[in-house]
Amino acid sequence: MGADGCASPRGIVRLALAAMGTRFELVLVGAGAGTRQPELLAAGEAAMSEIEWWHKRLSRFERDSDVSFIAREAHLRAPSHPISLDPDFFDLLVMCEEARVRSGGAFDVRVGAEMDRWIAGEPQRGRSTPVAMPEFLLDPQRRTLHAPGGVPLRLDLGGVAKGFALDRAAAILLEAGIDNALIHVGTSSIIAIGPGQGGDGWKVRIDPGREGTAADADDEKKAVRAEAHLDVMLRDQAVSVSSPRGRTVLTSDDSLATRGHILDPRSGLAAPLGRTVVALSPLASPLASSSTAAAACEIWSTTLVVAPELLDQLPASVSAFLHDSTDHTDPEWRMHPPQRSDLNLSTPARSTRSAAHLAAMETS
Amino acid sequence: MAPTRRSFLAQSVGALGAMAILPELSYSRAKNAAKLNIGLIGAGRQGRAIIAELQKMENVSIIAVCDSEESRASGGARRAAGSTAYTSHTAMLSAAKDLQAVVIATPTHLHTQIALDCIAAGKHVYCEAPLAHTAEDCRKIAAAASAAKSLFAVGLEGRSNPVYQLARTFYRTDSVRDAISIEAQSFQKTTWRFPAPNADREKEVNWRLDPAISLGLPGEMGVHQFDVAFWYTDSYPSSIRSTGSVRFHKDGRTIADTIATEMLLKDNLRFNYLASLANSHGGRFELFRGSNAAIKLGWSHGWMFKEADAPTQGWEVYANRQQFHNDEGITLIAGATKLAEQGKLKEGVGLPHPSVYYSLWDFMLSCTEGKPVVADAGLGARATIAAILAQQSLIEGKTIEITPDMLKI
Repeated sequence: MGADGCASPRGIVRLALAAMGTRFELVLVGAGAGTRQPELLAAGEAAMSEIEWWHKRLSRFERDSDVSFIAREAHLRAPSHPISLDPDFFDLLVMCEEARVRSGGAFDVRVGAEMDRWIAGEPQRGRSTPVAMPEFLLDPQRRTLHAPGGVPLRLDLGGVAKGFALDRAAAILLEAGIDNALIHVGTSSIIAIGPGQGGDGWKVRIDPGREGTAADADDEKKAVRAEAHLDVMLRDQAVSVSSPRGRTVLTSDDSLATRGHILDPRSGLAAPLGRTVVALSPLASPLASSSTAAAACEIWSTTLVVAPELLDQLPASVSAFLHDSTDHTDPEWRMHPPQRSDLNLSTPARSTRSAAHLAAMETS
Repeated sequence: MAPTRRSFLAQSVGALGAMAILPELSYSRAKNAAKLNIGLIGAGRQGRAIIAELQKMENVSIIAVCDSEESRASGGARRAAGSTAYTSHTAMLSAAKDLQAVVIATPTHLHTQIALDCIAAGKHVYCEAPLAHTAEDCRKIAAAASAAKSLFAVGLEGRSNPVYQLARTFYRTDSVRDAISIEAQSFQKTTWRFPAPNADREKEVNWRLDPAISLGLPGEMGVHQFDVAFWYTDSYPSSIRSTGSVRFHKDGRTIADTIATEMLLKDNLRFNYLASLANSHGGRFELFRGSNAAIKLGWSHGWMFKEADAPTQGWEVYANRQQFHNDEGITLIAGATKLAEQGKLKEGVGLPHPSVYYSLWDFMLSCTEGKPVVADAGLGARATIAAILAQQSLIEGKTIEITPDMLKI
């Protein structure tokens, strides 16, 4: 893993980093002719270093991460010796817990054990009872975590960690005085700071039809989807897109079916293919290093994939587009709240059958 | 009763691995260990990592965090719940009455005075490596530590790393046999430049790029890896030759971003070290080649690559393996005995904590249970002086022949 830096003479720095199983990219725009390239590069590297830090802390696939430490130890500790947490990590878990309550369990980071079974290829047969989740207690006074049930607490932060890392990286940029930047992860989550290179914002295209479904074989439909992109001008905003990718599983009637990679924590079943959610949120105003906009967007885009009925129950700071073709009809994008004057959509939302994701970023 | 395949595996692995390894959970819980109040001096990136690791230890309380920059001191104190922020170490030493030990994680050139003041205040000290930025300062610290009643440990992480401890038992037996060569590298792609809150602090923040105080790549990156070679071979170099230049980061710096160092160890064993800030391929590792096998160490992981004609030792037939292009590595697993008994050998691949954790853990045990200090000031001074000489060789462009007096502490 390593940041790969590239600086241009025009006061623009681009960096990339492989982390969290994907690629983070960063574009920084200097404030003008007086901006020194080394300082821009230093700020960008510090932001990437922050992402790397959180990758190492939050990954359940890294044996030496905090998440793995919690899984090994939280349930074995006496209540008098709970696990002390970094304040940012603690706040993240509080945010996740609030989302769990608000979503009625449709978002739940305790889904790690279920994900392990899913990744291991355990057949997803019919379930008649809800998934039993291990308990954990967060003590805001001591900033600690304890798992009282004696069951290993396998957290899966896959539905929030990338957005959280973006938030922390953006905080580093803001602290370094950067006021014009775009940072994204795997084209699924973005933070756009400032006016971009052209001064009107950062133009982002949400491009449907890039993920594999059976409908992809139909060239005509592909062409329709190619036109059905959504262009958004972002300025001081975060965006996250969630859409299940296909994986073949054994169903309860022993037939094979293609299911998504996002689990519904309430049932332990994978979300169906064909549902796409785009969540947007403004960064804190005035721009503050404590923003959690990208984390919130990732939480709610993930949640709405498994629970689209929650579209009108989003937190006030989050807006979302939902596109649902799971019933094989030709749907329209639904938006909540219905009217958003602060979004600049250069192409209206169109119907599509397939998944969408952020595929192109134009910096001019 | 004839041994089963599993019991044979457990016994065999246990016989070879027992010297070094404790079950992983014992690394966060010291049975009946006394409480230890620690203060951190230096709340930058390394300080943050240290806070994170110390907080895993049930009997450790971080009660003070000190940094000359107020925002970093307060930020560090925020991370260590219940601690107090200080902007000078002397203020911390006089105000924090319950302080028993300190961890020094400041820039290298600031270690000396802080270390001497902490020793004088009777505190146990853990100091990050390199120990200091001059040989004279290394000796000053070592002398003060030697005369003190309190403990002094240096963060030479390899010596506390369970994978490295295990691998060393192999290196020093017939598993590797005749030492052929040692190679190590530290490659990453970074400018080594950090953002400063204002222009006045730019030079202070980017001390690594200041030739007046920086030990360059040999010191800041190499010292840990140099010490692993010294520890494994139980020797120090008789000569050092470094070369290097600014290959990529041509932003006005004079500190080399790419270097090569060659040391001659005991029995004319060559130790070649490469480091660069311009390419990350391969990252950081050490490779010990012997006539029977090679051992490759990557801080959280270790592997042994046996020669085809090396004698079979039995246990490796059942060991976990990884393929590296044309070579197959036997994974060196910390806690192999226990894991093998549980049939969970594969789960032991990689350390359960970052490398720095184990150095801090050993320090904590030294303070609370009287465990001998793993890397004392003398070891820290010798490794640091070797790194200083490597940087000096690079600057002067000549081989430095090392006499015993030069490494005498």
